[in-house]
Amino acid sequence: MSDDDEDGFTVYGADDDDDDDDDDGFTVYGADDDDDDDGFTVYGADDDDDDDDAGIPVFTPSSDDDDDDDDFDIPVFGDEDDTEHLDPITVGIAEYAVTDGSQPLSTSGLGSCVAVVVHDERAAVSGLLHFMLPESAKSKGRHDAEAKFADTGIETMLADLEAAGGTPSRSWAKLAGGASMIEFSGSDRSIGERNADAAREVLADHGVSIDGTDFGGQSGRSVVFDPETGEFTVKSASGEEKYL
Amino acid sequence: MSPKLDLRKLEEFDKMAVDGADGATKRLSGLTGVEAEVECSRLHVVSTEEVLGEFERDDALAISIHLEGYLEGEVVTVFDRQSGQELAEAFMPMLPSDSGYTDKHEGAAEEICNVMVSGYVDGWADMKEDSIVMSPPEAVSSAIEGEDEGSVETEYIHEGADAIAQRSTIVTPDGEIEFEMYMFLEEESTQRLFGAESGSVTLDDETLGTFNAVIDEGITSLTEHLGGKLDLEVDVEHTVLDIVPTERLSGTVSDEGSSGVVVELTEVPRGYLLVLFDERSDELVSRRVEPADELTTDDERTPETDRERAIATAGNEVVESIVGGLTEQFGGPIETTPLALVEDMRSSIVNDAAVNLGPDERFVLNFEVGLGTTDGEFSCTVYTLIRPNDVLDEMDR
Repeated sequence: MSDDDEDGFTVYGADDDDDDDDDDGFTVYGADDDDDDDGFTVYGADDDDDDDDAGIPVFTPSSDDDDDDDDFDIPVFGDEDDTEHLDPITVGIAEYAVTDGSQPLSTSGLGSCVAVVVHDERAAVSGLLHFMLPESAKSKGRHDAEAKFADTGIETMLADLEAAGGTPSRSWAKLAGGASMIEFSGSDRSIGERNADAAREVLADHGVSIDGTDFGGQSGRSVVFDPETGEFTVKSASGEEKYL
Repeated sequence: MSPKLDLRKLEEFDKMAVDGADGATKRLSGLTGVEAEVECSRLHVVSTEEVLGEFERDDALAISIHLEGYLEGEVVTVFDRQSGQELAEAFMPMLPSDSGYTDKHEGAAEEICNVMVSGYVDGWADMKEDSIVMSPPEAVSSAIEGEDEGSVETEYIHEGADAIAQRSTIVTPDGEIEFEMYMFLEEESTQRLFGAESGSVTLDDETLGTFNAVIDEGITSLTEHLGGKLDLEVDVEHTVLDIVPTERLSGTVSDEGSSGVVVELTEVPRGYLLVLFDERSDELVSRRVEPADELTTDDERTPETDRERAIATAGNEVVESIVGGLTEQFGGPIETTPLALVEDMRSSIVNDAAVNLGPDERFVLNFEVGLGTTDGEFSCTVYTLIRPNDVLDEMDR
């Protein structure tokens, strides 16, 4: 829904007043059923089916009445195709990404966490997961990210890999991480070790072969995966690099 | 009104922060055509005094937007001059970078902020399936040199009114721009959002006060002592109490190499204490700090060289001060493991501590203290990572 009134503002969402004759001078977002002149914008649950959320500028000239060239007209710049092959897709902690392109995948901050890359060469589909813990949380009512855990994370990433045209059982995996950086007390086996074991187990359950690993030690790691070459580069803080 | 965060509502509040950031991402990218992502990082409680100090900095651009409806109060977004300029130029590349930060930059930053906050508000309204009314933006503090916007006190920003803040980042093709968003909410909205009812377990200004008292107890003497050893004037540069999902904490920490010490707090409140020096400070410490003869260190991560012993000695000074302050505030001995020397990517170190808090910990309470010199020659960050329930249990005793 566009806003043709003279107030210089824009209507988003389910603005009930089609005539929009309010002279409030402000933007209405969402379920605006008020016809007041209170000078505010209403944001609300947009439950209509129209496409009024798309492409409507919202740059309010509230403090800019002059004719200079600083009126807000933001151009599109940059060419996605140009950058696609330059910048890696960065995967955060407890996140994963799946791509059928050639853009590298990277993640950093690995300590006891594990990075799992899965690649289906024939379909040219790849995924990278950075998980923190071996098993999904037991407690109820929590909204932990699935990618936080080896079991739910790998399973979810493989499902997306499949949706993107890949086949887990013909894919291979490379893994890195599982260090014991600052562990003092607790169990016989560190979280890093348990993470590494959990990743192996879940991948085996899904028929994914493991082509290379760099596990353990007391150092952090960052990794970059190149889908074009299949090379998995593991870097440590000391600058040491390993290629799997 | 001071915000009281009911721990049981942290999930919901965090979801709100994430949904708000998603809304802001969609709005910013959709309307500007610039590939931008707004990432929510940390939530924290801040005192009015600290917030007003932030607004009144000469280089702070603070933009206020009033809310009515489901949420009543004020959202104030703060950029420093550098971030404001980067923000304006990221979205309006025709702006002249050579002229520094101009009124055109400020006007553009204000409008972009409006777009972004509208995305947040839209995200919140969608999540709550309710309406939120939003005013146009108003700059309450200008970052243009020599300009004074006057008092920033409003109905919601006044003495005794603490705020919930979230530190966030706008990721553009040119880089990352950090900003701080403060929510000053009217009592009913606070109650509705955080659900802190009488007798509920909360994180609030009292908790914040407890941690700030840790600073008062130990850090002042530490800065004098450490500064004496380094022959520098070391000050507390910032303190903040964050409540953050464990997986998101290290996302706000750089991958730069750091060295320092870590101890585990083994009794309630359980967690980790990390003292990390940046690379430049590492060199300074190793040159100027006389290594202590006797240090109790972890068997597997014991310092071996003079440099490592100097780092461990300086780190130990900080650990003792913080642990002393915690002991005083929590009214009992705080048990720790011996020192472990660490030298690695800062993000890995912090992330590993968060992971080791335990699989049942969804959130971590991070009491962060920045120590440093004004010229940046020395910089040290102390992270006290604690299980939230342990803190509250202790305070309830």
